[in-house]
Amino acid sequence: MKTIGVNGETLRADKIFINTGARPAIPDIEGLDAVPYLTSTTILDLTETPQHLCILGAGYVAMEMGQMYRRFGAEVTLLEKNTRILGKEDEDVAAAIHKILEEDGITICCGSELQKVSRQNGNILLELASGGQPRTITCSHLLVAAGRTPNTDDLGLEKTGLRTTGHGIIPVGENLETGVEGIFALGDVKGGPAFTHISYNDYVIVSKNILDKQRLTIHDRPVPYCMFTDPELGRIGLTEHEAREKGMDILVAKLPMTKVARGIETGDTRGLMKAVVDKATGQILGASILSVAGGEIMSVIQMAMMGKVPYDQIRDGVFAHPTFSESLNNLFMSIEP
Amino acid sequence: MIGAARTAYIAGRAQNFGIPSDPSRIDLAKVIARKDEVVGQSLESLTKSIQSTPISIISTEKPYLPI
Repeated sequence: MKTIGVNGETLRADKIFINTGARPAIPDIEGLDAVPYLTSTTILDLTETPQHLCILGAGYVAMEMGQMYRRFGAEVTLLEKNTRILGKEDEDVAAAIHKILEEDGITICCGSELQKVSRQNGNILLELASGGQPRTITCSHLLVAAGRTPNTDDLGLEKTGLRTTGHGIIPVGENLETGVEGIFALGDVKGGPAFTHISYNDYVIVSKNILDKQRLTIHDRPVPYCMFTDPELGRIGLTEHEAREKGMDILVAKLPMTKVARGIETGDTRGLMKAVVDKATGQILGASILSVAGGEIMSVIQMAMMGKVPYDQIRDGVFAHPTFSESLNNLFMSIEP
Repeated sequence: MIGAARTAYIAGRAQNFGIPSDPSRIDLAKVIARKDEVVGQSLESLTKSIQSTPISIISTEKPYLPI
């Protein structure tokens, strides 16, 4: 039996499930705590469009917020210390998104490391090292979008025998049980993909295992996700880079949206479709769909992956004309075995 | 809010489709109000869903301390 205290009340239970989520990570930058910076939560409280919004980071939150506030009328500058945005995505996919955001009027500064922050005449002064050279930018608002930190630091976990990683993540096994029997961790606190649908699937796994005596695990669980820029990026499975890193023998299918009939007809040909296929089996290993309704098209491919449908069946299959999904014929025709 | 941003983008391109439009001024307060309404509906639905189960909810802003 385990015991916890909440609001002075003592609760006892056989099993404890920790699902306390994560919060925006705030990097240790000189002067940052002395300015009114925004996070992905607090920026939603703004009632007026920022004049000039600088965003620290170039991940999914930075992309979505940056484009959104640009379209609301803000001048937007993205600051990324690495040499390109979206480091987890394939280079060609990230380059396509970079181009789309620049076409929207967003300034993207890669290779720019924020070193000092201060107030200046009602604005925020950012001092950067950009390509080894000092540079300053003045903005009206600063959004910190530099990752997230699990909410585990004030739970008193040290009293349970649980050990977190250096980043506050609670390690779990494939059934989501921690190193202490009867204590489970779900959602963002256990590290890995931080998405609402993954947290919900964690719940499905533990509830079915405990209540229905099933043996579900997170092993080989598909991790689809969608970055809600416009066009959106739907992602499932391995990227080309990840597959090559694993030494896999792969085929790569790629189709620019300028070749997609539905895109041409609806006047939006930004983006591309890309899929990675196992050369020996023809099974689809992953896909990146940067397109209007990219998340929905990705889900069609996810269904094929779940059903073990090889790429050539999709290449030769019949889809309604003119839909975005019809272009999956053309996507897989681009493969030259 | 992303839906609102997409609408602003479409409105800005409306001329390309032969549709007159002027999205030069964004009413962010109205955008936020719509977002709050959508989020509120979702939270209400989730709360009702949980209240229909035998689950007890204890709210706290203090940490849960193992004893």
